[in-house]
Amino acid sequence: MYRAWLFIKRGLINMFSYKTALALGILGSLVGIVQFTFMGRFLSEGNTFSAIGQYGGNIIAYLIIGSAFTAFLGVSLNSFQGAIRSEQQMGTLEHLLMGPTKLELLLIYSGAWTFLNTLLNVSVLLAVIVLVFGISLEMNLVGAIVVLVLTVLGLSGIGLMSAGVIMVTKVGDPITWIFTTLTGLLSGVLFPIQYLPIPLRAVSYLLPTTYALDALRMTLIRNASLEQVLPQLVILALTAMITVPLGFCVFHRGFNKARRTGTLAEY
Amino acid sequence: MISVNSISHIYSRKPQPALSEVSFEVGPGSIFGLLGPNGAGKTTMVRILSTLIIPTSGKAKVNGYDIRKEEAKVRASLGVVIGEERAFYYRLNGFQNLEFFGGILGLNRKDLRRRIAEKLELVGLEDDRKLPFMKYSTGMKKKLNIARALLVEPQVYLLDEPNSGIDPDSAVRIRELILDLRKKGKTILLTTHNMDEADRLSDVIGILRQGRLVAVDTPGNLRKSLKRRVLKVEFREEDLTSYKSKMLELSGRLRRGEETLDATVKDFLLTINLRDGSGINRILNIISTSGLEVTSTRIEEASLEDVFMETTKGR
Repeated sequence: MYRAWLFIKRGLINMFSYKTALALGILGSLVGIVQFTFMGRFLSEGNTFSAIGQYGGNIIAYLIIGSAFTAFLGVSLNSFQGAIRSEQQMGTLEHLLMGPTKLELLLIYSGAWTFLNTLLNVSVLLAVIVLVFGISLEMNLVGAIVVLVLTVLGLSGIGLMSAGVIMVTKVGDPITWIFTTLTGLLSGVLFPIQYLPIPLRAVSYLLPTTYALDALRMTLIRNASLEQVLPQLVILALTAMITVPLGFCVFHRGFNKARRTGTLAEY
Repeated sequence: MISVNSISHIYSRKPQPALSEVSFEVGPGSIFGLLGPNGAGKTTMVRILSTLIIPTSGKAKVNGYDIRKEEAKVRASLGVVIGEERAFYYRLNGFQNLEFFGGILGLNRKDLRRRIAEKLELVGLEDDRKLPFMKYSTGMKKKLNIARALLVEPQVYLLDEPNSGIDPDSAVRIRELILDLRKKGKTILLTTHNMDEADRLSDVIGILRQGRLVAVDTPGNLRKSLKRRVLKVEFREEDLTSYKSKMLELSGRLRRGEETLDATVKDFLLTINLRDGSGINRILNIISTSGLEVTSTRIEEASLEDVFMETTKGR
């Protein structure tokens, strides 16, 4: 019994030592409940799904693209900080830095693999939609790629900021958490934003991911041309123009702070 | 060369400075041995010179490049062994790991393969090059770490405990390798806990104590500075009862007139710490008339370990 207690005590000490992660974890569970409530309302409509009529009205295509988008969101936001964390745990981070290549570039190289991996997974998902579920997608592939590239670029800026924060906080980065949570809840990943109360809907219009998802569904399901999704593309391009330089700046500050405090390799 | 000028560093969570106003220089073709107890600041100094830590104050140059303003050039001049066992990708083998890091360090593909083969042979890992890193022993991991530092053939080497965890045979090989680098005119900063190794390899030794450089000199001068010599007298083995009684009398006679005499007896060996003013002739005369048969007498100088213990006392 005492031994079991020792394991529980060890777990508790470990959990409370990561205070930010603990707080964000609890908040995440609460947001999850809210998200499922809205999704429940949407699904309770039955087979009509009038709210997704603009995307062809097919719930499977709607949800799978939402899910694929979430995968890219995860890659863009988490691949940089994930790469840093992984190098710290392997003990290789300091040795990577000994070369002439800047850490930002090393992270981008590392992210390229994660991006390709996700692209492969998403391609499989789309193939499943078409081949297994027999849903015909009228795709504007070039348009979808443009949307995806702009989205990944803009979100990568936020990912870089988050990597800069994680350099200092080590765990429990609030930037990624806030962005992922808001996107999951308010961007129309699992249900259309019309199901949100008006104040929350206003927030969803402030998120670039709302426009990204809309444009992605339009190009992948409705064969929308680049002209048709131009407003969304402009918003995504503007987002990238702001987040990428800001991301590099925050990352650089976090990196240098970790070097000043001597905690670069700590995690 | 390496030039360190009044480097201080304070970690945010520790009130005591990790390094305090440390200055030293290491010229080309020489080895500077940095010694100190655990936590004295040796690794912090290596990390500062590697540009992995930005010091709180002070200046330093590596190969003529400022560690604050010319970081990339500093890194390009360096081969670093940081005293950790990990630091490689577990599922890649030795060759693949070196190929990855060599590429990141800026070596071209053609040159890289030749250099990897060369360095693996140099550290004695040529037969284990295809073994995944996770299967490597502690010593093998350390050797791979050294091979990586050698890959770019830099001008300056920072070697943080390169021989810790390595078997004696391999340690000799690594020491020869370090001496060979010195012959080639490379500048080497070496941290170690092995006093014998520091003594054998270093041209100059610096001893850190609580972040301060408390001694810098050649190993010989450091030993001399302690002004301590030890007289060791061995006696022929004889009946223990008679030996003990003679030894008791001898101790009494030796201490007469020199009450603070520092002498210890272990089995049939008498060790006396000689200080300035300790009259060797008087001691030897007393011993010769003690009735004990002397088989050998020798005077030993203070070792580097004695210097280290004395310098870092009360840390």
